[in-house]
Amino acid sequence: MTNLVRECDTFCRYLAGADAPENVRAKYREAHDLGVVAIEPANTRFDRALVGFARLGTFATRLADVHARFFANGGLLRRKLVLLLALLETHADTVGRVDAPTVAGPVGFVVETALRMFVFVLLALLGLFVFVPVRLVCALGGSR
Amino acid sequence: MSAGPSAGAPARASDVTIVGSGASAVHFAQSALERGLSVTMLDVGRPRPAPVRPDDSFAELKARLADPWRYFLGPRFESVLFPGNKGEYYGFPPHKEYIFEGVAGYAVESHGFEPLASFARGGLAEAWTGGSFPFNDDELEDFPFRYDELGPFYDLVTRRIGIVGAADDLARFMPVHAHLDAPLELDRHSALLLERYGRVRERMNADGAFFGRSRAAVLREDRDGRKACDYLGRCLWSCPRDSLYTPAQTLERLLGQPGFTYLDGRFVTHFRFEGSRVRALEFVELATGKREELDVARLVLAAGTLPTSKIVLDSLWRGRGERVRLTGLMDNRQTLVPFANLKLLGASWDPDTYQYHQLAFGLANSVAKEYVHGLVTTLKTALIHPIALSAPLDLATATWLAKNVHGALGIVNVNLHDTRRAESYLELAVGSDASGDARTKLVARYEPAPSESADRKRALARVKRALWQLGCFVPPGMAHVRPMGASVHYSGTLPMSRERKPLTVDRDCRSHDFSNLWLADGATFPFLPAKNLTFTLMANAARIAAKLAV
Repeated sequence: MTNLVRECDTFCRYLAGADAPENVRAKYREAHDLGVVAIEPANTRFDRALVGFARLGTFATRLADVHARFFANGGLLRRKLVLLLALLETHADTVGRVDAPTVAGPVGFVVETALRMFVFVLLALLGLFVFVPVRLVCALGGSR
Repeated sequence: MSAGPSAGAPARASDVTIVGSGASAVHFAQSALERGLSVTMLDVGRPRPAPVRPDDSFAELKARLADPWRYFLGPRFESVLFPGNKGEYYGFPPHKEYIFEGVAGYAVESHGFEPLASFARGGLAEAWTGGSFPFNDDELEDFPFRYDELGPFYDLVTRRIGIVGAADDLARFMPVHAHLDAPLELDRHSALLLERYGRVRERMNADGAFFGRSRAAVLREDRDGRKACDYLGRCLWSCPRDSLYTPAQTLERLLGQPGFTYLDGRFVTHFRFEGSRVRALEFVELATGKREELDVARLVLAAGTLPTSKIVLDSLWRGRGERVRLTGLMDNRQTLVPFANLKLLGASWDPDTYQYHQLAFGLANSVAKEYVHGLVTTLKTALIHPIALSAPLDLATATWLAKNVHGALGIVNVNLHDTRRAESYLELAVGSDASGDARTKLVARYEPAPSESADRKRALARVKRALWQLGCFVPPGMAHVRPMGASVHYSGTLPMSRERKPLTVDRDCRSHDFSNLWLADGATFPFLPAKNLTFTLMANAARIAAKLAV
């Protein structure tokens, strides 16, 4: 199993709760081969560090993504995740995981949203502790 | 004489030579042919790709296509909207890209304006969402004629293309013309909004907000080879049944008519004239790159405001060495306002429904012609990743949120009117290529009206208030002000004028500069109401064609 497939599976578990099917893995690889997620002029050291951290597992992916949303939104990690979400929502086998309601009515929605927002804020704070030093180290080592 | 695509030019000039095949061009041509005139149409004419699995619904496509990603996202994933890209909440799917594919000889340098041009068969209106909103007398105040002159041509075009709509509260802004078909079936969300409006109507009306059925060029019943809307849910992805009207359908029918010659693969650069008469058109044969000429008796420019203006500018520069400025460029400022219906949070949604705007807003203004127009689209088959990535959350939380509010989501496209101003204009820049030949480029500069920002904020506040009364919530910070040029309602650069002035046309869109030149597109509009202008372009083209001497 290549690093890219492992990455695809990890990110897929993070977004959709299950490993990626083989056809999604193949498309994910194809998009990378075409340079779709590449950033011009090049990925920064911090971008690569975030992706490397995110590959560790779904919790790491979430932590890195929460941080990236505010501090590296157009970066490599977010681009990979958005690509994967687009792949998942455009095939019948996977669309149900990312585009079908899971809560029961407005009340359930409000309760679960509140919980998720609480977790989000905690992760955003934790992300600062984890990634600000990483960012500093990357900056001291050169921007690329 | 009848000729198919790519046929040679007729031996002698037709009665009428038309440049372009968009909404104005095809209805001008149809009316001219009906009057017994012969017509030659020159066009680049990129054809639409054949529809993919035309009987499958949106959901079935995802299951049955061997490579659904290619269909929905493009062969190079070009329809994936990435964070940081200047994307919209919904964009053009891959197989609509042919509509905006450029031509080597057409270049635009723009400032404060992001122009689109089309060289597709059927022009820009191939991407039309069908909104068919007649101008009323208030909006025609600056035009040299009244609604009673234009009205019969709204009727005529409605008979030709099929328009659905209702005589409801929006009739105060949109005259009710003949031949309107009953509206399509509402999706659950739209039905809920309309039902709620029934209960809060008086309160909303007191605030100047009116709500009702949108009007759209879509068929309820089979007609002229087109099939009735079957609710496949594929509107955003190009209607495979031709239920939704596009000008290419009219062109297809014209191809079989006596007296019509269609010359595609030709890019018109300018016309040659002597004194005040146009003598010939110059164009490039795209297949060979050769420059050719075609004699004309009566020339009709209907290529769209920007290409038509460039042809006029180029012609004046090449013929007289004049570099003129066409002032008064207009476009509708649009703001996309996403909203969620509180009753539908966590609700499922049905993709097998009509996808474009089924409802519309009208916000009255103290100056009647400056009313604000809003199109309400309940998002069912739009992709969710552009929505998820714009939320200020990690993608998993945003995706969870998006899938649980998907059934409750909608978007209002808020349109503002525009006026002709000297600061917004088109002109020509002249340079030369490697071989020393002159090359021209269109320069577009747009300056919003000083009051636009305040007008927009006021309109958005009213839209949000109206949505709240309809039980909907607008997430803060999510309204997206589209760049000027995005609405593609370009107009105003060679306007109709009651006075005989250079670079204007008369009430019948005949040039004041050249006696055998007519302009049949949006360039002639002296005012741009907040409404989509396509229906009026067609009606006006039919109106002026009806006045041509036989």
